[in-house]
Amino acid sequence: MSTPCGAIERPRFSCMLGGVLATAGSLPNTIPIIHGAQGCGGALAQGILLGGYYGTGYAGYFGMPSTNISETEVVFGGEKKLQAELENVFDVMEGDLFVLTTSCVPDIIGDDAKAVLQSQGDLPKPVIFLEAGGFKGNSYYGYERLIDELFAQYIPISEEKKADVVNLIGLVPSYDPYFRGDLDELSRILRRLGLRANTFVTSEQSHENLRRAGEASLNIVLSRLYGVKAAKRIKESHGIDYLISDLPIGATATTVFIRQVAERLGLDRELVDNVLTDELRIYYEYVDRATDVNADTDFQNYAVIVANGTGAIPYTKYLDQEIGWIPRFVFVTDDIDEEQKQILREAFEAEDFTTEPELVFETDTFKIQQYIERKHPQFLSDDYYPDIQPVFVLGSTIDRKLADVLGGPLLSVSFPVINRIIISTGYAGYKGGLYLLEDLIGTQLAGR
Amino acid sequence: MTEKDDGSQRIDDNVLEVNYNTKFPEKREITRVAGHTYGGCVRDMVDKACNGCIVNADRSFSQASLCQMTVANFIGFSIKDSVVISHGPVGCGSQSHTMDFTIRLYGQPRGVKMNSARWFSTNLKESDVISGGESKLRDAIIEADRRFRPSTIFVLMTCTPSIIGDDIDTLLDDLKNEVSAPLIPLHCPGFKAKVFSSGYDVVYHGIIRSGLPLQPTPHVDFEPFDPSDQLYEVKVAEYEYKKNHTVNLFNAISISASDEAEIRRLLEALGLNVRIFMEFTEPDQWRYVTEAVLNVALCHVHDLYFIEYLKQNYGMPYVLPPIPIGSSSTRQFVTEIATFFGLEDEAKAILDKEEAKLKKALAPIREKVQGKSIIITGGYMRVGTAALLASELGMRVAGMRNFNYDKFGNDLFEEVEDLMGDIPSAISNQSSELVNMVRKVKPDMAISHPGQGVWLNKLGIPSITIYAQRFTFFGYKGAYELARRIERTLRNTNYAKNLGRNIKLPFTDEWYEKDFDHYIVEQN
Repeated sequence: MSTPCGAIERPRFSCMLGGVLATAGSLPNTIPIIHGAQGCGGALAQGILLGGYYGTGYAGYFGMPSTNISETEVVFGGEKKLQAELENVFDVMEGDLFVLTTSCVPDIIGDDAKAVLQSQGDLPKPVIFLEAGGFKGNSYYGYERLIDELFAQYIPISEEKKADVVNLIGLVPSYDPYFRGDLDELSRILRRLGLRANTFVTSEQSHENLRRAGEASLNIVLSRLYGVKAAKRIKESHGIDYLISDLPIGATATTVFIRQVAERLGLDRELVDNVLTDELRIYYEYVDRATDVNADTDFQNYAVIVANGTGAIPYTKYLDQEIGWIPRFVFVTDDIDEEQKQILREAFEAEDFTTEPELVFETDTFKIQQYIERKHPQFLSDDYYPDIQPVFVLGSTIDRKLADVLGGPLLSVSFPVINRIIISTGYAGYKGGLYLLEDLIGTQLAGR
Repeated sequence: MTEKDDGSQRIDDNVLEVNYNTKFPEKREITRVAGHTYGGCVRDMVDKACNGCIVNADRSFSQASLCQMTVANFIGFSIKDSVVISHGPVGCGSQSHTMDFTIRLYGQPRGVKMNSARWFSTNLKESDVISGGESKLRDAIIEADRRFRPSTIFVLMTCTPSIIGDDIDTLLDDLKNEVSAPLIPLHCPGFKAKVFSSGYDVVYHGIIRSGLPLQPTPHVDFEPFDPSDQLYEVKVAEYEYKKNHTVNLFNAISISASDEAEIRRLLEALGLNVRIFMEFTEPDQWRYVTEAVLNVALCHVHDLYFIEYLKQNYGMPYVLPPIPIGSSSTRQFVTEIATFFGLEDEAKAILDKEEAKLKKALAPIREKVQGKSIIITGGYMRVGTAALLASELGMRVAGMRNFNYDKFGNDLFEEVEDLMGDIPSAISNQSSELVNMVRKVKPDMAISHPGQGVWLNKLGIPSITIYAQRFTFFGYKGAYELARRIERTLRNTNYAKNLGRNIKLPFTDEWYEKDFDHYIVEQN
């Protein structure tokens, strides 16, 4: 159902370079170097900012070294420019790791950036390299390729695996706007089980976490689509097994998630039971207190979910299985191939939804609205009809119009998130499930 | 280029070298002899802009910047009911979502109901790089027109289709009769111009090239007066009188509704009829752009390209006063317009009164902020005028950092030099250079362009933005408001101080020992 022309109205992702920069700029003490035109870094950073105002950080946005090649280099090649940049970058920038990436222009004109890098001889700091011309894929692909190259080029292979160390991958900085809160919460729960989690992209991580990621005994991929290919390759190169899971949102999903991880790692059954019992007790004490307002005002809603391939099913599961809402439409907005669609379809069908919502693949913002309008009797008839009221839209800030047309509130859960700042909030895990409940009810209380 | 008495070459002041008939707009490095890289002081910067040397510099180490595509893109959205098609890989448009709230929220105070920011990406992929992207673009244009019936469709040519040679001009020509919206080509590959404000010219070039009428159409927009009408001469006289008292102001997406209102207030007090173009208007309104006798850009960094075109083609004169920030520049701005209409005396009376009122209001603020040091970074017109305002408040301007610079700023910066001496002035938007300089200068605060404030805050320096739709900067009201914001900022600097104490910057100690312009190199 994507636009036949291949053009997309208001796409909710960026190019390969966008994904690489968002990710590299989130790794501890890591500095991206762009070989490309001067605007790539600035424009993409302005895009990355829209994941809930995910700002410059250590060396993002105007902090990123960039060769800023111009017309001259388009004609004569940009390798000299890159050489000068590489000669000087270590004198100016302080980092533990540098990620050299190309962009569209050098990839089209055929600069051999890798050769320029190699000709530099011994570099004072480690540099990994990847070609990331924007036309090669989208931001999720960029994330996937960077994780892949990190393990291939930088993270040492460890023969000895540590039973208590796991890596969490699959959430893309900014394009999964709540990734920091999500990863922090999942790390917290894993810690209670005696595990140490490398997340690579959150603030509690040091560069040491990155370097020692090869010691992990399990890669947990928190997305059915992204990070899976990298995990498969890492299994071959580093011998780290992997577990693919939906991002667990709320008590029900998180309990299932913990049981899965515990089983794979053979964790002590009693410890796991104790932790889960305790987490559930705390969780439901919080929910208990929220119940007065919920029960007295009938906050149960029909719902429309508009999210990426990582978030769409988990949010739907939370609404249906955790808080008893009625999701009706689930839109996946990624530009994905048939194989990836099939993965999501199967995952979706395997879920035991109270009322089966409709899963739709649609990258085009206007067509999401059009799809519901065409399908739904409230727009077709003035007789009595089973409308979708009250309705709640869990989407991106740019679904404002959709929410207006449907006549319900909107919570920004997917990229771009422009109407709120996201700092440490996440919706995954137990705490995340509570934050989500808080926001879903809170949004309906706005104006009181 | 003219030869001076002493035999040295001097590029001609206030002359724009433009050929409006070419397919591709020329970058500002050519049309305005604009520079993007410089480190030094005001006097030398002005001299280099005079003799053209300002373009002969580049960097051997550089950081990410902005490009003309982003600039052109943002203006495209500010045209009412437009659609922007980003012809390129999907990343080139990804910052466009930010315009959604910008145009909706800031159309409101102008009484203009703006749509959401509606845009397409042609999402060029590897196969399109090989086979060309024209057919994808064609389909996108037809779809955009059918879906939204927009007032205009802007087509942004990004780097990739520009290099592979997509011929969008022929395509847009072919499509003219198939779509209802005017099609405006924006040739803005980022690699082509280092001076990214070239993007403003790109948009005007596209508007000019699209052939949109810039004069009202008889029997559509007006009924011509009938010479046999008894009142014919009266009607003609009335029409002429109105037109002869009408001035066009050109705004920009960086200029706020309250900025426009303040300048409108001052000019209307002179009995002038004020109209504002191009942002927040649409092509149907542009037909009336020539129904005035004078064009003035609120900031001529944006609109000189277009008002020069209107001068050459419609005989409309323009004046080029500085952006009206601070009393001195506001006085100049209003006086130059008033002089054109023969209203100097009236203007002087109004301005004297306004200035006296402002002076009184600024006095207690001056008490609090005088002697404090400030650095200012951003577009050069705002940097220079904000420096004058800071000086008016008794502050010490410790440095100016202009994103780019050209001869059209010389009058302003000579005034800056006269008042403050030969103070440090750079042409840079490089964060490494900014941090290096600020660590040495240690200003009490900064006024900075969006995207740079974070670096100042990281250094413990509070900073406010050099433009914002939320605030007033222009005229007397703006001077007072900006002064109060400066005073408020200095009153409590804890946010920046706490951040500065706790955050690690990504630069080496070795870098701080070098001069900030260490990597600036001469080139031809």
